[in-house]
Amino acid sequence: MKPLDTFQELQEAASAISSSAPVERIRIVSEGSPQFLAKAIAWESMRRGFHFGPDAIHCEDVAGGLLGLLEAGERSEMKTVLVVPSVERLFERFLASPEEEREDFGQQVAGQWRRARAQLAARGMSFLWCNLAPYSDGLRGYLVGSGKASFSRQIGLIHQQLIEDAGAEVNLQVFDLASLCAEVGRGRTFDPRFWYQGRLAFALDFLPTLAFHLVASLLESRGAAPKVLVCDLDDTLWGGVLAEEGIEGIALGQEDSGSVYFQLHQWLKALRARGVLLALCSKNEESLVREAFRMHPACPLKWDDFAATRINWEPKSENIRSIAQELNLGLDAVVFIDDREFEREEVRRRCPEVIVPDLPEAPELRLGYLQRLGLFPQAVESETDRLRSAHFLREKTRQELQAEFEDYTDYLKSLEMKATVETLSPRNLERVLQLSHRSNQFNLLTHRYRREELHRKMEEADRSWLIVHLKDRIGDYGLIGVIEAGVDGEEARIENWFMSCRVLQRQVEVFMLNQLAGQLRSRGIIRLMGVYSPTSKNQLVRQLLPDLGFSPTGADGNWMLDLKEFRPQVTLISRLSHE
Amino acid sequence: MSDATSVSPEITEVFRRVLQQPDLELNRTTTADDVSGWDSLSHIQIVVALEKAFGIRFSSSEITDLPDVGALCDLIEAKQSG
Repeated sequence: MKPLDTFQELQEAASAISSSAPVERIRIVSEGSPQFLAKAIAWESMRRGFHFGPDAIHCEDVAGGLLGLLEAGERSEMKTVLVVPSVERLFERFLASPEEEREDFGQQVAGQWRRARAQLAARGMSFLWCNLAPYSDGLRGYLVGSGKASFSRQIGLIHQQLIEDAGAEVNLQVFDLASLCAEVGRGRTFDPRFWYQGRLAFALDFLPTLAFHLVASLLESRGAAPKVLVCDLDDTLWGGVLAEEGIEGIALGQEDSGSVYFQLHQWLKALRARGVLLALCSKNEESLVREAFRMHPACPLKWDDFAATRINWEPKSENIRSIAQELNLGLDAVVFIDDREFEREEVRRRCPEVIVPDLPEAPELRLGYLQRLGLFPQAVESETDRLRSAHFLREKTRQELQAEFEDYTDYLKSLEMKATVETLSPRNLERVLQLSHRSNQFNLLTHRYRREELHRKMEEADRSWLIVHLKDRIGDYGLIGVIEAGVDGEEARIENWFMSCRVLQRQVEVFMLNQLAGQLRSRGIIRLMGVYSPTSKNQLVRQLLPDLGFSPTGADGNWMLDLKEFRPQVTLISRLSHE
Repeated sequence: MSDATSVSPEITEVFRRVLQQPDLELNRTTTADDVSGWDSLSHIQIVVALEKAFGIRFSSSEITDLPDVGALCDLIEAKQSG
């Protein structure tokens, strides 16, 4: 999966897809003429198995455009707003403003944008906001100038404000159009003919690239971003063939040809720290590879940095399938890098869902290439994200431990599982959001939250949350399970129930129901209702409600649990009070 | 110069692909009004696709001053030989 080269190719690629995905309306507010951008986004989303139906408006300034939506009584289901200011349009406004006001131009624009967002925030909208393409006004040659009124300075102020606002406003993400345009070059991103004649802010054949990255960013909040990067070793993570050159012979280090690989390692480490999992898939001798990671004097990545490793001579497609299985991920969450076209082709053919970038032949071009692909949009930062790799390491330890026990119950006992229970709070909100997007298998209703939705629900009294942290003697799983129940009089209804796949077969679901039942009974609730909503991935919980003692009500697949009669099942999880 | 009525198959092909009308036929007197879907937006798409196909570039005024397909054919021919 990569951006297509021309608008025409994108049109043809999309018309060949018969999309069955439901259309999701999104709003585009643009200072350029948005028709082509809207088409490109719709088509690009179809290439990824989604179907955005953009409803685009063209306005003189995006703040005015947004406020116009408010007056027009914006349809409430359009929660996602893509905002695309135009640097050309801003420069027109800049020159049209009185000279003495130009010093404050950037502050004013950023302020207008902020106020418009604040007005719409109450409608539960979230914004993907493009920053500004690079623009040289030519008024000072290439000297930026010390004048406070220089346009470059004003753009800088707008960018700075936008980033600060994104840190403060939960419903704002900033799309780095500036970097993307700088990378591609103005000659290819902007076509003055169609700016003057049709107010097109972008060259037609730049739109597939722009839409590719915009759609990736829009999908990020839906948990669709890749989660693991599988790496080859020889001539990918170091120069040369380990088995031939030996540990001293491979190119890796801070000098000469090794520095290319050293820098790649550093970048991969930073990616891992962001929560992206790393894995190894190499045709090699495992003992030699382990030794190389241990003994090499300048190897930033360590063996334990990899959440899964497959060092053998099996086809890479099979290894990647088994890595995905081990990490409980779909193949579409996998990116694979390898210097050899033969291996890439084998994986592409046998695992078409895997993202396989065309790594450049020359090693020095690869890091820049991977950076520009923007494959790992990650908006949400949470502590758990960074700890995720460590979890997989502990999981390996647990698997080894399990092998020592013949009886599964004995193994569970040996884990000494302890859980804490809490309600939705600012402290756990980011993780709840993230888990709602990442959890596929144990997900009864597959309702993916939005950040502003959770902020709103946190305040609602007719709601009961059961949020569970689990730890055992090997380590801390963190926040792994969530039930949201809506309360209406004496009845409660399960509106969401999902759990991390890391804690399957630990009786956590039984524990959760026990806790929820106790919590609801103490509020005087006598009935708990639930329904299973099937997806292609949640077969696992098809029988969850009847297995836990719910009875069919005969209506629309609804299940009911009589809380007056409910007797908790015993589990091997003990509840801790808050730490 | 081309003959009075025919339009080169390469040009027709570009129109067919952009407008997604595989059976579209053009002649030199065809105007935008004669072809469904040939509006100001798809005109931009056609221009960009023609530029790509023939390795040429139109100026702003050339794009707007095209009364019919014949004028377009002549312009492309002139640009290619120039």
